[in-house]
Amino acid sequence: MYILGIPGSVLLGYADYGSAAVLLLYLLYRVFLGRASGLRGMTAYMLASVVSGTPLMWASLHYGPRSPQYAVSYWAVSLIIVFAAFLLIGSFFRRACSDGVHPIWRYVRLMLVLVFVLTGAVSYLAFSLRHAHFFPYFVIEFHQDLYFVCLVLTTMLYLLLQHFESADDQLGLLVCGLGLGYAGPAASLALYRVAGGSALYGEAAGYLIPLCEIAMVSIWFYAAARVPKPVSATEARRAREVMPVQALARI
Amino acid sequence: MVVAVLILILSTAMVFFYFQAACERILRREFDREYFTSIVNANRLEFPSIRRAVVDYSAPIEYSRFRMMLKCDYLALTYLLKNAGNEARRYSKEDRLLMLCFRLTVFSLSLRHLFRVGERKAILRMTSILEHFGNVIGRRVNLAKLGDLSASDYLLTLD
Repeated sequence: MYILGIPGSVLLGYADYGSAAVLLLYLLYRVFLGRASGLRGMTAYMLASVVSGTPLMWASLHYGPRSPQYAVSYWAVSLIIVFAAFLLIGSFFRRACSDGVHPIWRYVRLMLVLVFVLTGAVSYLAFSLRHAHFFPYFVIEFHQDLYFVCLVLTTMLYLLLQHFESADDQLGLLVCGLGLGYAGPAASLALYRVAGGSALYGEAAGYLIPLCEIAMVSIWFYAAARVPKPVSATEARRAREVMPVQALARI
Repeated sequence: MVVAVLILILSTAMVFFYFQAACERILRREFDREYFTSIVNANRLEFPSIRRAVVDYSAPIEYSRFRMMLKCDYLALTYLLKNAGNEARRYSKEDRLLMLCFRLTVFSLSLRHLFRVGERKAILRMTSILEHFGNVIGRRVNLAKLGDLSASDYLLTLD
């Protein structure tokens, strides 16, 4: 489908990038006002996503979406974004464990490091058995593996929140958005592979992936703007400790 | 190929699961009081009676009747959502997400009716979405009515 001579999937991609940029501006505004408690990880992720997306947009406009230059920048940018997502999931895990106070956080942190190292090792092994060139094959292999790991970790995080019966609705919504943003593209790409690489399904994936990402950005926007983060025990304790000092300083 | 099929099934299920979980978290948001009752009474909406019939009296599911009643309520509430006390005259992102959720639940209700499983759950989800819409409209109308009035102004209007 073409709108004003531009493929619909490309237009959706631009809409996806635009919505991410709007969310980033909103988050930066919150950071500027000092009202970004619990949203700093998300701000860093959106910054990585939008900033790394800029050269990709440039490559798409300058070289065209079918050029090798675009393919290389696509995989490099995707790897940066998935890596940022892994760090974001880590920060969500920390928040779920009462901002790192819960004893389970020590094990979760160790598990995250091990999972990352294992993913890198497995990707390297799978790549070294088949290919002689490092880039872009290793990047593609590592990207796909890390992507799948992020999807699994998001599900584990959701289950952890259910297990803790967390009252943090903002975190719950952020995790739901992340899950939607990962599960949608995974389903689209799997459908494309099951259909034997049919062009029709490839085009469908081109529509579904940005749609899921727009849904993720919308849910995050809602969570950031409308659902407040509950005050954690640590923050409350810190506030109690700081207050008398500030009062004395004023005197 | 087996792995791809497995990923396809699991990730498709996860898309619906996360979508539903996000909608349920939005619906769980509490209002300071039940604003929807005035909207229900003024517009003669029927979803509270359907919920009472399903929850309190465990009435048998009259699929086509309930479906029609809920869809009529949905049309009335979405019209009010857009036009009652809404200067922008457009739906918010949250409204759109829940409207999509309602439509998907209507579709899921048809499937559930076909296979005779979990119709009650789908109907209850539809009524909770309608209740949320009712609360949003009710609160908006309440704010429009009392927006510029101070407590003493309000008491004077009661004469």
